[in-house]
Amino acid sequence: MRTRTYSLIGALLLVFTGVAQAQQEQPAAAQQTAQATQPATAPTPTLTPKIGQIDFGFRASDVSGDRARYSRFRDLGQGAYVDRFRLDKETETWSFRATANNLGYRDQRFGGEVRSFGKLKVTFDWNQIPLFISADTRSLYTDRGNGILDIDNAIQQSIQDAALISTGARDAAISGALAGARQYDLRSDRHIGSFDAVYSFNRDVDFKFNLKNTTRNGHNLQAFGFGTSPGLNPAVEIGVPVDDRTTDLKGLLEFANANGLLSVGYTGSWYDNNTPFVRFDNPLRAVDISGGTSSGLAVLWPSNNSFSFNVNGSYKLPARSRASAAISIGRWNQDEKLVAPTVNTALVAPPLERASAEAKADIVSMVYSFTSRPTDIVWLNAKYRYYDYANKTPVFDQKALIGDWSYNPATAATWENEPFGMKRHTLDLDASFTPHEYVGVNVGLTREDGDRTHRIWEKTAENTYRVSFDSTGNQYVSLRAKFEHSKRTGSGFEEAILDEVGEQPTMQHYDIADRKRDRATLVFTVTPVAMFDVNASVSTGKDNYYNSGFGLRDNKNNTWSVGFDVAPSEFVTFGLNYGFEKYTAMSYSRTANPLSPTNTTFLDPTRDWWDDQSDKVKTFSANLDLLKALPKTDIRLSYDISDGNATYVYGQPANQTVFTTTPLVQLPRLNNKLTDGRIDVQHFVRPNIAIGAAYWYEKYTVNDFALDSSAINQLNPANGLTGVFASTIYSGYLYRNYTANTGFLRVTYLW
Amino acid sequence: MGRFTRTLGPMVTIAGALAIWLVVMVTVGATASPRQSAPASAKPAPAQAAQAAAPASGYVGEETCLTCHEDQKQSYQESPHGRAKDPRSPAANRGCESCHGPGQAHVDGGGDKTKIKNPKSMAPRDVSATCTTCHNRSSHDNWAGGKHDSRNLTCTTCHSVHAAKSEKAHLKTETVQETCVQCHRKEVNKVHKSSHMPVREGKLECTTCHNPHGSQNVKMLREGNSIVEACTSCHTEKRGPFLWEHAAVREGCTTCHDPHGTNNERMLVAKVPMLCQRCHVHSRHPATIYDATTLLQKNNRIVGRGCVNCHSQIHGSNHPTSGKVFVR
Repeated sequence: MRTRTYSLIGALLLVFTGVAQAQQEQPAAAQQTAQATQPATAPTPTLTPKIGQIDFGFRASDVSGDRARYSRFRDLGQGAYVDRFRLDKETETWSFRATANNLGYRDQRFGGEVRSFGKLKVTFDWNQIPLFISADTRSLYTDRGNGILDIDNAIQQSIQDAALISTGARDAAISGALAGARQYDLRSDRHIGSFDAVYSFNRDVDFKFNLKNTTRNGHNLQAFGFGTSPGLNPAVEIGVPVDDRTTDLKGLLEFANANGLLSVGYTGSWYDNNTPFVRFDNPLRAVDISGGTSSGLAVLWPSNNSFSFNVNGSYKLPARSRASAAISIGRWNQDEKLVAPTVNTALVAPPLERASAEAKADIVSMVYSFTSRPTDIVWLNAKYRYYDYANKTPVFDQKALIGDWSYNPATAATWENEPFGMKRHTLDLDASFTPHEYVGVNVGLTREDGDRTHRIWEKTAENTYRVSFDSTGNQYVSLRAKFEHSKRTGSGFEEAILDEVGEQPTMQHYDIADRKRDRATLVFTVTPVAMFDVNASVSTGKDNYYNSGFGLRDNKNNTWSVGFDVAPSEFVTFGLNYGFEKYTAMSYSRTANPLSPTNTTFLDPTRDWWDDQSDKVKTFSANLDLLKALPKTDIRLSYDISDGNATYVYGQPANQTVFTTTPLVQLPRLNNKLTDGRIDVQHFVRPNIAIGAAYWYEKYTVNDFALDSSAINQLNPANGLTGVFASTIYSGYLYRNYTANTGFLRVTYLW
Repeated sequence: MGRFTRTLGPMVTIAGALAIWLVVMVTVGATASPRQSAPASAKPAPAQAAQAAAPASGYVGEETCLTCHEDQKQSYQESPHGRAKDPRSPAANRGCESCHGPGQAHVDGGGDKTKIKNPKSMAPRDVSATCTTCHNRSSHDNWAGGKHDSRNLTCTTCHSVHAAKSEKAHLKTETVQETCVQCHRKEVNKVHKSSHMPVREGKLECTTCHNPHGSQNVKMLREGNSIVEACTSCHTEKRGPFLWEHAAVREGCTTCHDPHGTNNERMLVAKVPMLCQRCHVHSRHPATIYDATTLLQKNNRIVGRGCVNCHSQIHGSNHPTSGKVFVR
């Protein structure tokens, strides 16, 4: 498949190049006109170098601690490297550009672009993005391919046998087995190849084509269980195989001139998962019984596809007005084969209602806008947006079974799927007044009506009012300020949906709940002299879910920053910035069991509790550039700190009845701090050759109560207090500190 | 429930508001002063200019401009604007005067700055109108009426034709991030948080997801027609539709994630299980306080990845039975 794709790309490249050459031989009328208005200059037949650059050298890294997090999206591996390769060549009629970064490493990127001016532009880009999740993970499993993860049968048998003796013997057997778990790097790589072509038939008409191919390979962290709650008897955290491909295709024919634009296009996307399921052994059992399975089967991402046809148009109208419309009609399909409900041979699997998912949604999107500037001081804008996601997945009724544990076809409940769909109507109206060239005032209104299926609110309506003030263009002061108030109200409340799943009836999902929202932002810059400016920004926001008894009730966001930039000469620039962000949220709950004649905790307010989240982050950044301040030498320094802490504090009413025997103990504070310092020195021994050195320092410190080594120890799955098996066997993925020092010695060559 | 219901209410509101708006526009448009209308008609589009006989009245030609503005010559000629073989470029049309307007009065006035179009002294929307005369295709087609246009930003707020510092796109700063941070510091600061998109590593940039020139999607998102469509244009595996769907996912990815970065696992806006408990407060385990005691007990609803330790298919599932609660 990959070979075929590359062959296709190559063929297309040749075809387009051929077309371009043919077009060059027959200049268009527009070109002839252009030539007539310009001084005649003979086209240069030979390639004339414009600029080229290459960095190469040696890189060394020393990382103590979590090397995976340091290299999460990059590869700073030790050894020789070639980076920042740039080759630009241009004649009067065409240009060529080639680029490459960090060649040969996991995050390498390279690309090319060929242009025949006014005729053709062809671009190719290859971008590799690594995702290095953990270097501390360990596993009992062996990946056999095709989604099969095996544990040695002898291990399963020994733990199963030990469980017959006692829970202590079982836990000891688990610990013994885990001591021999294999270490592996949990990672995946995303490779994105993109080919773009724009062919200009004439001055007004373009054909645009894009083909993108994305593959992912490696493993991702997921956990699955075998039984039913609690603990799914047990759950195992495993590196599930990732092997998929997405092919995106776009084509667009576009006509545009001074009066307007009309385009028709097609977009298609195909996601193919080569590993649609994973079958994983149960470390606790070698033999199936009705109360436990020897292996489980989980479905992974289903293959799917989408396509849409798009028509866009815009037209210039009198009074500096413009009307535009965009209509898109498409469909999402997902028809993956359904797997058996259980692979436990000791159970009678409930019959499948159908063989495949048959999931699909029709999507219609329309945007109509009208913009006018009838006078220099008045600007008006109206935009109507319609979005319809009509989920047409057929009803799926299925006998209930969670995992592979204790299924009774006679008593099992029937579950029905809920294919969520929605329609949104959004109208934006804005008017801007510019009484002075440096001042603009904007007032606006947005009305959004939502209509959803299978949600507790059948409909929502939100009105948003906004006013903004923008003073720009003045060389001394710029000020941007905005205030926005909105109110969302639901109608058609369906309490039965909450009752069905045992939710508190005053719980309202915050993504659609009644809400009042206020937001204000201000960005202020003062430039008393050209070489110096001071900037400040403030923003505040509050969401109040005023009708929510349970669930998220409110959240607030406050940020501010202050900084300055100074450039005392063309050789020196220096900047500092400090920012502070605080986010708080409060949600409300009640510890309770389902309502029954014998248990009324569901209605008992003394069992209420709330959770106050507070998340603060301080950000500091500084940079100093000394470019030729010293003879033939460029020096760049930067220093960034992001220092965050968060708390989740529980509260209860004074007459609470939940923590009567043991006291509530608050969770510890969370901390995240990243320090990133860099210095880069380049000395030009010749105008086109520089030798240089760079040093990067990064330090990450973290305290995360849920993901530090005191919380998770995969080698001792027993409960820390009770000694009882703790339900989940983890892989060893942790939040850990790291300190990294990376040095570069490099030569930069320009030509 | 379960079916869309159509009512005339929203449609009537929308149609009414639209009608009022049009009336306002027409009224204001009809009262536009001649002085204000004149400049618009005096600015020939390059297409018209190319068809006009050269030299047209008021135009002096590029060579004349460069006689005095020699310092602008290199940056202009090395830019796409200077490619005379591209019939859409200024060089193939009026040269400098394609953007700056006819220069005769400016020349006759001995370089009188008031008699030539200079973006630095023009109203922002006049600058935008000049640039979008040519930059009027797909990626720029939604500028008019977009968020940045509504806030009086213009092309030269971010771009510089003659003094660009970036490798591409003629930005006034070296990188896209440095441009965006000037107004969007809150969002840009988030890329330094522990859980972030690969922006600080240079693999993505702000414009990977957003089109600052406007788009048909909300939040100036480049792809699709909704937040979900934008996110799943790369995260195609989460596109679905799934047999069993999670309502919050279908409503929008940002219900749970902040794509600019957070200090929580997987860019979640809050830590699990507290995030999940914002919606799931029903009886049994979702309604339990997971305090430090449960942490010591290694309760798998708070240690590790909390709820997702078991409900790992939280974006949706095709498993015929266990998919109902997203555990497989």
